[in-house]
Amino acid sequence: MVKVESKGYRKKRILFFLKRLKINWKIYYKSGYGKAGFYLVLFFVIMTALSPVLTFHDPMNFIAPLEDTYTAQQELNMLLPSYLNYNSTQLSTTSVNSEGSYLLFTNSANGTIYGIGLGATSETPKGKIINLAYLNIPSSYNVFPVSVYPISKYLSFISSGYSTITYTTYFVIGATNGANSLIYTGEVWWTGATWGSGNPYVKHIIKIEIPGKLIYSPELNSIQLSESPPAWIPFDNMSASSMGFMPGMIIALTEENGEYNLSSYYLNSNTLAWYNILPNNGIPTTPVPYGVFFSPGKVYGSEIIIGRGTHIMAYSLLSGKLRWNTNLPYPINLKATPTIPLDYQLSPNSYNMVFIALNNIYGVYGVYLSNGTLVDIYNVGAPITSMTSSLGSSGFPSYLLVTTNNEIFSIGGIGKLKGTFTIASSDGLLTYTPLYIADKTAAIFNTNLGLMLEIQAQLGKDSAEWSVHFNSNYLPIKQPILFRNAETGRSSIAFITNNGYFNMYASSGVDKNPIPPTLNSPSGNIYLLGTNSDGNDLWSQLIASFPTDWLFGITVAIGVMVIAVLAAMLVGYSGPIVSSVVETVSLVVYLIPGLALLIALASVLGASMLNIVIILTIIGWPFTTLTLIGVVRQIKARTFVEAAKVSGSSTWQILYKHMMPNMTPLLVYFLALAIGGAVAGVATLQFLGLAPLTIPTWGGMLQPIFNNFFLAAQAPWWVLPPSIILTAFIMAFIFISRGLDEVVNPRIRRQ
Amino acid sequence: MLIIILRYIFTSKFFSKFYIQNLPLGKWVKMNIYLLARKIIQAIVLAVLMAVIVYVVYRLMPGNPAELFLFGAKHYGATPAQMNALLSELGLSGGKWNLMNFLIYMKDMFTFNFGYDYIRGEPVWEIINYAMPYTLLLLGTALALSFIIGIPLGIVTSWVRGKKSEAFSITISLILNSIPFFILGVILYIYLVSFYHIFPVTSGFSTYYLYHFSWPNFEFVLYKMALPLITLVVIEAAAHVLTMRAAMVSTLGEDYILTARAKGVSEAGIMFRHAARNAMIPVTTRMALEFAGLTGGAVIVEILFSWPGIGHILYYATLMEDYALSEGALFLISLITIIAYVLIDYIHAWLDPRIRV
Repeated sequence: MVKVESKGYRKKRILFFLKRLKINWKIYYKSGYGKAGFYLVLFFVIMTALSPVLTFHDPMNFIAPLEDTYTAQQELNMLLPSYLNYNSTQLSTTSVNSEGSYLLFTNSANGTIYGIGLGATSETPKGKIINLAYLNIPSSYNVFPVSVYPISKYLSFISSGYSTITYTTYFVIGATNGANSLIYTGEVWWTGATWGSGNPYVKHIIKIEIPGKLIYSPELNSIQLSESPPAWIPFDNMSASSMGFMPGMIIALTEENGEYNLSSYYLNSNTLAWYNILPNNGIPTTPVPYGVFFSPGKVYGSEIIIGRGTHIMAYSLLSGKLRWNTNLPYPINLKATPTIPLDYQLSPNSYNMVFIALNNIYGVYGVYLSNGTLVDIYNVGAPITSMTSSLGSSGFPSYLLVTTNNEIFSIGGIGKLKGTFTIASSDGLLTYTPLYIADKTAAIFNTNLGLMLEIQAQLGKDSAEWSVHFNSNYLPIKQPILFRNAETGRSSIAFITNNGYFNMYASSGVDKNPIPPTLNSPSGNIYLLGTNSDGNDLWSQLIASFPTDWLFGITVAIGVMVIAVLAAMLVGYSGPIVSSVVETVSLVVYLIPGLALLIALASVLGASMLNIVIILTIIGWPFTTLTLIGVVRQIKARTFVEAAKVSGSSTWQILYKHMMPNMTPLLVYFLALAIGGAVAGVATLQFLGLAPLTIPTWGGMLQPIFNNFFLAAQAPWWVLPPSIILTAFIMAFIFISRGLDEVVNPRIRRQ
Repeated sequence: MLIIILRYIFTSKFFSKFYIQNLPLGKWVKMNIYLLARKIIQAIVLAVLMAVIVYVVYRLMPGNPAELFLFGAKHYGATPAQMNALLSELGLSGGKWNLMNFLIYMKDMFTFNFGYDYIRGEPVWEIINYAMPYTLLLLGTALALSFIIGIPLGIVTSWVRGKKSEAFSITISLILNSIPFFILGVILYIYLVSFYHIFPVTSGFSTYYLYHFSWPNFEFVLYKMALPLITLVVIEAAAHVLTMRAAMVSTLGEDYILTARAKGVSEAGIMFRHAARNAMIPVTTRMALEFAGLTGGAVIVEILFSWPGIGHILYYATLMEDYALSEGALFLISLITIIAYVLIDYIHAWLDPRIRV
C-alpha cells in the first residue's frame, strides 16, 4: 500500500471540508432550535469571559458583614407624659416567670409608681401607663428610682399536705432629705385570676424610716432580672431563718456623720435586722447579694458583698456578721460595680468569685467568695468604666466583659484575653453597664454619644451584629435594661431618653439572612441576587459558576467522547464477538441507574473534583457508545466501505478516512448532549452533598436547600436564578443537538 | 406484567402441548419461543455483568469493609477470634479481590442473600424487601402515566405539524426535558408545599396502605405519592412527547401512509391506526433505554421527598457507609432496571413483526 497524497489534493480536501461545513452551518442555522441554542451558548460563553469582571465579591469566602445581616428592630418609641418627670426616673423590671414580665416600672419625683404596659393582655396594652401607687413623699425628699424584684412566697398547708410557691413582684423605693431617709416597699397584684391578667394594683405598702442619708437605692436580697426567682424567700417571716428559709431582706446603705452604715430590714415589716459601720474610707460600692438562689440547706452561705476604699467585705445576710475582709492593693473602682455571675448564685462552689476593678492599676481582680482570697485576673491598661459577665455555669465565666472608655475586653480566664473591640472615639465613651444576653452569647453596649451596639461576646473582628445611633436630642439616655418581652417571647431592651421618650428594641435585632436582592445595604455592598443563609453573595457565586460549570461539562464530555469513539472504533475494527461484548458492557453500564451508581461511586471513591469527573465519565459514556456503535455498523455495511476494502485499504485507513468523517456531525451532536448531561450530573451530586463544595457551581449553590427545604420557600431569589441558569445551560445544548439533528438526519430536513 | 406472564404461559412449549395446541397459534408460538429464549439469555448475561460491576464498584473503596461492619452497633467490642469468624462469614478472609470470594458473592447476590446491615445488624434483604413495593409502585405508576400522557400528546403534536401549537409543544417539552429532576422537585416543593400547602411535606407512609386496598387508602397513597410522581411524570412524559412526535413524523413520510390517504382513510384513522402503531416501535426501543433514566430520576425523587423506596435506602446507606445495604440496594435497583429493559424490549419485538421473524 503506497500512500501518496499530493498537496493539491489535500488543499482540495480542506476546501471541500470547509464548503461542507458552510452548508451544514446554513442548515443548522435555519432551524429555529439550532439558532436559539447557538445564541444561548453564545450567552454562556460571553458570561464566562466576563465572569472575572462581574464577580463583585469572592464567591466562596465573602460573607456579608454583620451590619448588613443584622439590623436593630425598634419595638416601641413613645413620648412619656410630663407628669412622669422622666429626669429623675429609671425603668425597672423583673422576669417573674417564663411568660415574661408584664409591666415595666418607673416612678415620678413624688414617688408615684407607674407601670408601662407591654401588651401581654388587653388591660395592659403596649405603652399604656398605669398609675399603681401614690406614696406622697414630701417634696424636700429626693426620690430614688423604683426597683422591682421577684420574690416567692412559700405557702405550706401542713394539714392538707399541700404546699405551693407563688411569685410576687415587690417594689422598693428609697427617698432621702440628707438627714433622714424613707424606704417604701409594696407588692404588685393583679385583679385577674392568674398573674399578669386583669389590672395591676399595689397593696401592702410599708414605710420604713431610717436615720442618715441613703447613698444608693435600697435593694432586696433577690436578683432583679432572674428568670426563676429565688424560691426560698418567704413572704414575711422574721423567724424564717430558724425554719431553714431565707427571709426577705432590704439592704440599705446610709451615711450619717461621715460614717457609712450597712443596714438590713426584714421585708414586710419595719424591723431592723442588723447594721454595721463599714471600715476604711471613701464611698462604698453598691452592696451585692450573693447566694440568693441557694437552696434552704445552704441559707447561711448567703452574703452581702460590699467594697469600700482598699477593702472588700462579705457580711452574712442573716446576722450581719463579717465573714471576711480582704485588703486590696488599690482603692476599689466605683464605676464598675462588683460583678457575680448569675450561676454563682445557685450553689456555693469553690471557684465562685466576685469580680472587681481597682483604680490606679486598671486591673480586674477576682475575690473568692468562700474565703476572700484575691486573684489578679487581667490588666486592661486603662480606667475601667463598667463590667458584666456571662452566666459562669462551669467555673470561670466564658465571657467577662470589661469596658474602658472606648475599648471592650472579653476575658475568658485568669490572664486569658479572648478578644477586644474598639469603638471609634467619635462614637463616645462606654459609660453604661453592658447588658449580657445569655441565649445569644452577645452583649449590648451603649455610649454616651448615643451608639447602641450588640456585639458577640467573643468580640474580635466582625463580631458586631447591629447598632443604632440616637439623635443628640435623645441624649443622654438612662441605663438601658434587658427584660423578657412577653409579647415576642424574646429579650428586649428598654430605656428612657433625656427628652422623655420611652424606647424599646428587640435584643436580637433582626437576622436578615438570607438577604433579599438589594442595591443599597448598610455597608454599601451591592447584593444583586441577595445572599444565601451563610451570607455569601449569590450573584458572585452565580457568575463565578459559569467557568467552573463549563470546565466540568467540557472535561467530562471530552472524556465521554474519547471513550465512545474508541469503543465505536473497536466495534468497527473487530469482528462480531468483540463488538457484541463492547455493546453488552456499555448496555449494562447504561442500565445501572446512573444516579444510583453516581451516589455509590461518589461515596466509595471519595468526593474530590477529579473523582467527580471520572465518575461522570463512567456514567456518561455508554449512551453515546451505544448510538455510535449502531452508526458504525450502518456505515460498515455501506458500499463505499466495501469498495475501500476491496481496493486494499487497511482497516485503520477505513476507520480514519471513511468512518470518522461520517461520524463527525454525530460526534458534535453527542458532545453537545454530553456537556449538558455532565453539568446536570455535577449539579445533582453537589445538591445531594456528595461532591466537594469548594468551588462555585450552580448545583453547589443549591446544596443548603437540600438540608432545609424551608429555606427555599423563604428565599425564592436564592433558588430560582441557579435553577434557571442551570436549566438554560442544559437546554442550550439540547437545542443545539436538535439543530444538529437536522444536519445529521437529512430525512427530518426533508419533511 | 400480567400480559407478559400470560404470554409466557401461552408461548412456552410446556403449556402449549397441553391446551394451546388446538388454537391457531402454532407458527406464532414457535417464533416467540426463540425470541423469549434469547431475551432470557440476554437478561442473565446483563444481570451477571451488572453484578460484576457492582462487585468492582464496592471493592474500589479504600480500607476494609469488614472493619466498618465490625464497628457497627451489633458487633461492637468483638474479640479477635470473633472478628476472624465474622470475616470468613462475610467472605472477606481472602482479601478483596479473591476469586473464591467473588464466586461466593455471585452466589449470594443471585440468591438475594445480601448479608447483614452494618449499622443495626438486620438482614439487608428484609430492609430492601420493605422498600421494594414503594419503588415499584412509584416507578410503575410513573412509567404508565408518562406513557399515557406523553404518547397521545406526541401524536397530537405531530398532527398539528407546521402550526404554532406544534412549535409550542416541542419547545415546552424540550424545556421540561432539560430540567434536572432535583430542580423540578425543589421548585414544585416551594410552590405546591410551602406556598400553597397542597401536598404533604414528606411522602412516607406505612405499607398498611399498600396492602389493604380501599378507596380512602388509595386516596391517601395518591396524596402522598403525588409530588414525587408529578416530578417524574412531567420530565418523562416530555421525553415521550418528543420521541413519539419524531417517530410519527418519520412514519407519516412513509409510502403506505400515502397509500392509505389515497384510499380515502380518514385523518384520524391514518393517525391512530396506521401511523401511531408503527411509530410505537421506535418509541418502545427508546422507552427501554429511557427506563434507566427514569429509575435514576426515581432515586433522586425518593431522596428529595423522603419516599421510603430503594433509592432512599441506597442514599442513606451510602452516606452512613453501610456498604452491605448500599450494595444490595444498588444491585436490586439495577436488576429491576435490567428486567424492565428486557421486558420492554420483548414487547418491542412482539410489536414489530420484522424483529419477530
